[in-house]
Amino acid sequence: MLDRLASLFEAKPRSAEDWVVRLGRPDAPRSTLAAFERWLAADPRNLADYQDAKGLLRDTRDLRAELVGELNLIPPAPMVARRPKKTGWTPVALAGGLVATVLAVAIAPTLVTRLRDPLAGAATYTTAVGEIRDVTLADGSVVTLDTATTLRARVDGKVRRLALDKGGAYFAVAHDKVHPFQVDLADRQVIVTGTHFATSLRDGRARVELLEGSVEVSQPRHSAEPVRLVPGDQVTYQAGGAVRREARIDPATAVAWRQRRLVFQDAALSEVLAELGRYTDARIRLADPALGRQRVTAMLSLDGRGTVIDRAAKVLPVVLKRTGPGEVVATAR
Amino acid sequence: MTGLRAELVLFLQRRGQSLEDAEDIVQETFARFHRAGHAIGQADSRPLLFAIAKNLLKDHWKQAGRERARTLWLDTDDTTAAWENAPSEDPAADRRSIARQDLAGVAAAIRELPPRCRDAFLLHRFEDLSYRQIADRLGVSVSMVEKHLAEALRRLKAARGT
Repeated sequence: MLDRLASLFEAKPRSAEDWVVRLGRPDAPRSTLAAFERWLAADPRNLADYQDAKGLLRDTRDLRAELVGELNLIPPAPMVARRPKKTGWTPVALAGGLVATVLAVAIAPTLVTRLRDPLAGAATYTTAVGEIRDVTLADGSVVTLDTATTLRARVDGKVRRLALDKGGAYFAVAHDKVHPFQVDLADRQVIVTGTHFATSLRDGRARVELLEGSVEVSQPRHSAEPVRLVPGDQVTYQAGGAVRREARIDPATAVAWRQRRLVFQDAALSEVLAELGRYTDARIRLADPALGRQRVTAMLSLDGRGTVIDRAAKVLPVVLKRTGPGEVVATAR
Repeated sequence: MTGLRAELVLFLQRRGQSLEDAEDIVQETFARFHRAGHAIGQADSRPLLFAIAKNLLKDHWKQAGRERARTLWLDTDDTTAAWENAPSEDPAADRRSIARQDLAGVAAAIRELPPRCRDAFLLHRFEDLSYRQIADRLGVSVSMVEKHLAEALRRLKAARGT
């Protein structure tokens, strides 16, 4: 609403690049399209420039793996990203009605989920930052919870239902064809009968890695075929988005965190620090962003004496220095 | 899509083209549109199709003008051949594809973007986030996100040009 209003006052796109970006909005209004047509007609070079800029953007599509280190370094959303809603006017006569509406909205979803939620009454397992824990479920399946994880499980029904709410988990599923094992992950399900696989949900991105057996990832639309994984496959998705196949995993080093260690083979330092950051409350910052590009091959033990930062300092090619409470800065050695 | 096709044919007929010529031009319009990597159903598809069709129409007029000139001059000399065969410009044809060039170089250029600009570009390109979601993530306005993205494209273009 505010976005739409603001769009009335914003600057008109001037260059081909401006136009490519502006037309990337989900719903370009008629007036914008008309202005775009006028711009195209104004100079024959504009069409060529536009296609060039759009093509440039399209051509970067295969670079995700290359830039995943930089992606991981993007700081999470600031806590107060949006201004608190303030109406600015509070007519007394309407106040009662407003309160009632707000309450109804707040309660309705809880009621609905209560009635429908197959995970009602599920056991909840959590780990703190830096903690890794094995849990044996009632059906004999063993789940290893990674750092900062919340998992709910209810395995006594027809379907063994679990939900990974955040963090990461590795599953060694007890074989039982009659009772499918199903993990809710973001807006879809991972369904298996007996297998070894890992799931994670971090910063809104869900990931499924398969080590043994087979799993299917359902699609949010029922009409769509589920995505089937074979051992070594890895997929990611975001709620509402398409399932994306990622680079094949190396079964020897994948989910090494389960053995309380992190293994990096020729990984960007930025990626290594992002991963490390999940096991500590401290925020790790690069003194020089260029440092993040350095490639690292290292094995890091997640438990043992001292903090995980102390141990990392011994194996990584950087100096990790505590600069304040909860802050660590990485500088070149 | 058939609707768009019919609209384009009508547009060309109103500008003096026979049905047959109009259909030919529309055919070529769609061919160029797809060759440039565009897809039907995107916000920009309609304006682009019309822009391409207008360019082709101009070419067509030029061509027709030359035809008439040639018959008037009764000139069958070979010297006019080069003039006549001047390639009609196809923006798709000369679009340099970086896919064929050094992708690592492009990755490096992305890394060298100013930090906020780079973050916005990465989130847009590789996390499928909407401008609104990127704005929330980076704690800036949507219009700032658009400025960052346009700036990123300009810088990447400049980097590729060198």
